[in-house]
Amino acid sequence: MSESIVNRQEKIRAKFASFTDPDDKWKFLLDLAREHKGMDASLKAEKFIIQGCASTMYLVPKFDGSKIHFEMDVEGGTTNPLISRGLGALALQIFNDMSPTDILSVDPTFFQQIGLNVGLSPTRSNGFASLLKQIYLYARVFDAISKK
Amino acid sequence: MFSFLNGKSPFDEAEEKLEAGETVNGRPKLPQAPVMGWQDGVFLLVLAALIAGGYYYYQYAKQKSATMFANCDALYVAAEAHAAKYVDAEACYNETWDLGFVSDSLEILRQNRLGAIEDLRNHQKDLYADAMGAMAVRDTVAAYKVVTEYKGPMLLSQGDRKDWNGILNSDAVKACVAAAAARADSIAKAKAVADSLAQVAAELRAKAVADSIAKANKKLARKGKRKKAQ
Repeated sequence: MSESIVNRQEKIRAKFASFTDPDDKWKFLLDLAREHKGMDASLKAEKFIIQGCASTMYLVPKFDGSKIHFEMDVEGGTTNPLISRGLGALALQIFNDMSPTDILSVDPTFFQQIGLNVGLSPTRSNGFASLLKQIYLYARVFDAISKK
Repeated sequence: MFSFLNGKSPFDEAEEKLEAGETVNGRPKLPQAPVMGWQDGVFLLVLAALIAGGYYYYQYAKQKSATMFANCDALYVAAEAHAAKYVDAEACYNETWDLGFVSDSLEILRQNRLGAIEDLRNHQKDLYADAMGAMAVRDTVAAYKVVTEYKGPMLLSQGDRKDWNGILNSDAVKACVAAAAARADSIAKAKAVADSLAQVAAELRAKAVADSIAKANKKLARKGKRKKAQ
């Protein structure tokens, strides 16, 4: 049986609570970014770009009738946007392979509650908010489709 | 796979010597195989060279990384006093992408500083959009105000920078702004004159009222005296 979305949130909350040094959060995001597998180049279509991100972030959803599988990748041209990729990977740790209802049950302020936004640049905060918005939007759409 | 016995079994030599009739206390002499052949020595030397080379390369990469990051750090700190240096700091940090070694703490610093510069760029992009919006509705004064009030670094792309500098340095824009200022000045002057005239008029009116009251009072006083005399 797969892990519930509440458990996932609690794990991340506990992880953030365990950080003692301000750099721990960034290191955690860097690790997530490095561990995160990119996506097939053929999936990187314009329509999957998250608007409002400084880097080019792609979020591709696949709905199998009950759960949404997300693929995410970030491109930064000559730079390596590890923090943005880490933020994307963190979001997927909660939302990936969950049902639309589960996704919509998550409090949008959860990431603020755990202190993710502290020290995050406004551009990245806005980008992350756009990513969450897009995830909720996909969840709403697939929720409506599954209820038809 | 390598062997320190050059592919020979220790018993091969023992057998050879046994055949030659060599014995120790009546028993075949134990084989005296070499500890290693010259090929093994060369292999160990190459291995040692690789380990030493790797270690020195790691030290070199670490040192180079520390030096470059220190340089970028100095530029970034200087930029806090002279905003124009953010461009140099950004270019410096972008050069560090080619480094072979970057520690986690330096990576965090790089990501956060490039993020901060990106924020500054986005702020200027917003102002650029405001200025271009004002220009689109022919509000030259508002556009000029936006670009002249901005004291941050120039972080716009080449094309946008051209538009920005176009507003900032254009003689036509400056003439419009000067004309608008002159117009505003003459309006202010005219208003000041009108205000002072109105004030004078009000004062005159007040004086006239006061005079007429005084006159009426005198008249009444005179009437009163006359009645008393009668």
